Amino acid sequence: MAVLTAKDYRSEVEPTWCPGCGDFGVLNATARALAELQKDPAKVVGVSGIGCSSRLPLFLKGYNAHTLHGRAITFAIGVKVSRPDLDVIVFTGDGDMFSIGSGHNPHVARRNIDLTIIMMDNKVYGLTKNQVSPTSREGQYGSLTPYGTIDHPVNPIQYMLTFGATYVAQTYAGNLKHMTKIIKEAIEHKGLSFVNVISPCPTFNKLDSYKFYKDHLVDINEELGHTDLTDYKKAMDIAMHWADYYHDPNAKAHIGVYYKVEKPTYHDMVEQVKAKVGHEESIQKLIDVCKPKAI
Amino acid sequence: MANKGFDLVIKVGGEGGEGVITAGDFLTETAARAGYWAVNYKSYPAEIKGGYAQSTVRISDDRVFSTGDSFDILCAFNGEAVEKNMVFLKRAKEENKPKVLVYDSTDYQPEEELENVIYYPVPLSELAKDVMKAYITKNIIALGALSELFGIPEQSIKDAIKAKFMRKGEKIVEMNYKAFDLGRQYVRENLQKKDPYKFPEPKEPQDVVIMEGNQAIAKGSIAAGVKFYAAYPITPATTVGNHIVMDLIKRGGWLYQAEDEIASLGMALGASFAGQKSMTATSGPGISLMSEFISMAGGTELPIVIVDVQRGGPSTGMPTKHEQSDLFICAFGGHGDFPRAILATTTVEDNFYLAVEAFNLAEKYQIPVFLMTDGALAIRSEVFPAPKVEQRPDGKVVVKGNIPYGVDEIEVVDRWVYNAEEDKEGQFRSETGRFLRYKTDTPTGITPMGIPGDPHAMHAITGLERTENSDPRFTPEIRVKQMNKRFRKLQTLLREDADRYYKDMRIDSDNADVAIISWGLTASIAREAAQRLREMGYTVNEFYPRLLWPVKAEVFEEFASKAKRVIVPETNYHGQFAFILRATTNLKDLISYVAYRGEAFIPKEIVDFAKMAIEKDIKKGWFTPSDVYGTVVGAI
Ligand SMILES: Cc1ncc(C[n+]2csc(CCOP(=O)(O)OP(=O)(O)O)c2C)c(N)n1
Ligand code: SF4
Ligand SMILES: [Mg+2]
Repeated sequence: MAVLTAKDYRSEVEPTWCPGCGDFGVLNATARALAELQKDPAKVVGVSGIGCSSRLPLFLKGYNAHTLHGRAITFAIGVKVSRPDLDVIVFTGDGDMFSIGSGHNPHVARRNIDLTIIMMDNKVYGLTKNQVSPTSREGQYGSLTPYGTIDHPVNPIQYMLTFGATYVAQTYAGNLKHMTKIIKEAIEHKGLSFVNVISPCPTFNKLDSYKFYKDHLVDINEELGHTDLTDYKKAMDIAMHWADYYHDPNAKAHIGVYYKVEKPTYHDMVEQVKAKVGHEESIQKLIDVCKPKAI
Repeated sequence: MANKGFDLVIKVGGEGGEGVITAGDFLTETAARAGYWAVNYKSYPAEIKGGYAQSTVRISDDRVFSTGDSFDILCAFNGEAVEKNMVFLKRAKEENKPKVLVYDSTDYQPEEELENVIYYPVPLSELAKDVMKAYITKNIIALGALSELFGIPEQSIKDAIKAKFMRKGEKIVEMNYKAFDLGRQYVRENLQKKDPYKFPEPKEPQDVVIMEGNQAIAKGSIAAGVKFYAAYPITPATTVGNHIVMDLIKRGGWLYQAEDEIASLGMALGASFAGQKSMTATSGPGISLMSEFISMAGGTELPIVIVDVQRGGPSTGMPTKHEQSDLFICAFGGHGDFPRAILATTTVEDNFYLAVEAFNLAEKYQIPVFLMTDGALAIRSEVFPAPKVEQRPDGKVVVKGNIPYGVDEIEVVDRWVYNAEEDKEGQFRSETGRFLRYKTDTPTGITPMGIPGDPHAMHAITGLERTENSDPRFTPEIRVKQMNKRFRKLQTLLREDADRYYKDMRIDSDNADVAIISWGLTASIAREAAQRLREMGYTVNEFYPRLLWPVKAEVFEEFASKAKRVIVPETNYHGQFAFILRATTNLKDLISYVAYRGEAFIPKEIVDFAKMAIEKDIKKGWFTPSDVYGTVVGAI
């Protein structure tokens, strides 16, 4: 097969995002990562929910599914569990994954299903035109909270670590190189990878802008020296305290890998069970067990 | 039918955990081993441990499909079982045959002897404790007593006992044989037979299976080739999963216990998109949660089988009770307009074959297909002719047997998968070579699916309205073409497949006194009622469609034109199927006859209402058994 370039992973559909939307960067980085890995587009399945961010798989070549708000993970599990030969990537937003779809997060993680989840965290509901999301900072204005929200945000990194994700990282839509590297690693990782991409929404979120992040980012691996990626407590500690900008607007936001361990995936365990149970060639035999037993 | 030959209803009742249900299972298996048919309706206690349980086993020469109006013999494991059934025992005096009460005289002494009831005291608990020194043998002692009293073939019961306990070793089998013999001996030495009930000689056993309703769905789905099952536990649907899980693994598939029903349907659809035959099973509350994905399955044209084992609603309702009240949500649930099909089962045997058919319709038309059954069928077991699954030389799987709705065999359908080799002309390619997943101008509305892995059929699916190559777009022209494409599939279904599910129809007269249209479990009760009405001299037409949606109006209209009145018995408040028929056909004068008390009809209630409708010349309206009997009655 000829060598594929990033362009070969893009569909004919043109993105409808606003100019300057961070999601363009995520699309580019994903296409680059897939090209670097020389993945067969026919064997990559992108699955998304609903939101500006969730449009992303429609712009990729291959097999893609733009499903329901909050339900991408469920659909992706069905694809992966029934077809472990496919690479399955979930594209989601902060509202999609941590509001309406949050009930699925613990289970996909604790089962270590071999999916890659890329969440475009713009800390706002973009598609429905500016409501606060579960990751919005306190005081952010939204159409339904014109007084500035009084809700506390969640920290997606902390949650996904708690739930048992085996690869947890954060990157930034303004840094194509870092993003590409992280997404590539996440796809290659065996088990549940969660990548939170800080992806600015210049249209609706004026707080979390490119300008803000310009001097509010710190690389936890390069700059903070977080190198033992199997140290769970350390990963949690960084996520919780070192720069918890979810609660402290002046704190710096992270990019980098928090945690990465090898653990048996759901599929590995399934294979073990299947090997133990064995195969039955004859459907008739499975029916005939309902006959009165011969004495 | 039943009234001619041997036909006996034995009910065993008592404390859950005392082997009541097992005793019923033994009687069922005994019937099968002795060459007879049996239907066994079980009711488990609502409590997790203990509580009242009972098994009603009807054994007959000819196949019957309900457990009748009431029992002939009650075997009461304790006083509670007698009390619970007192209404039936009291009714014996108005009936033309006696009822028999075999009871544990250690636990219960009747205060008065009821008219037309024959009493056989057997100290079951005492014999179990003092003689056998093993209380758990109580149910086997009871079987011994029943065998001696009613001539239930000894060898057949002993074989059933052996089959059950073989795994536990010779000693356990011996102990149970001893308990069985003890029951027999006690009866021989202490009781005088006073009743007319006598089991006939055993016959050559037939090639049968014994399945529970939910087990039959599981086995049928396996025969259809299901590979993925996702579900969230809910009464009374959970046991479909219990029954399918190991079979599925042995067939290379997998059962995924999801975190909720939204997830289970999402997962099942993911697996379907990935190319697998896929299903989920739930009950009403789960269907409510699944609604959004049901709509997506219809819109994106993903094949999926959704089993609805109905229970009493609304809301949490009556989880362990029988009701047929989910027809509306299955027919209309989910937002927007989209094609779907509903199959409904009338017996356990139906559950097996219609599970295969549900996959066939889902795969052929790429639509959500509901397989509707209910909690009573879920736990009822039936003896029925063993189904055969054959692989033909061309690789096609064919399911054969005594298919109850009148077709000879079911050829298992696999979905139409795009094959670039065969599409030399590029019928399913755009000018730029893109795969046209949703090409709009095929005559059937059906288009081939692309399965991940195939480089020639790459596409996206989206819940948004879309172009033929699946780009989101909703101009009026595209919208109308896509909508028409999707609904053309239903027209094709009505043309090519509907008749297959309309064969269970009997026309006795072109101007019958009464016609009955019924569905689900109620149909199998209506069938018996119709026969009794015939024996009373009425002319009766019957129609038990297995396909409830879409509706082929002309079939119903023609059927109805041949009777003076049409009664539609069903166990829900609205009269949901009659409601749908009034809306989709020119039949406005249908008589809804409904019960919504949480129990199935008994045949007598349908007979009595039909007589009333004929006598009072009722032609339309909405009635319940209270209109016949003047009071709310449970299993009258
Ligand atoms: C069941 C349902 N409820 C509500 C919506 C409306 N809706 C669409 S996207 C969205 C929020 C999306 O937020 P997010 O996931 O953060 O995506 P973004 O647009 O910010 O990328 C909502 C509420 C919907 N599509 N479906
Ligand atoms: S609204 Fe925001 S998130 Fe949506 S496309 Fe525009 S910039 Fe991107
Ligand atoms: Mg967002």
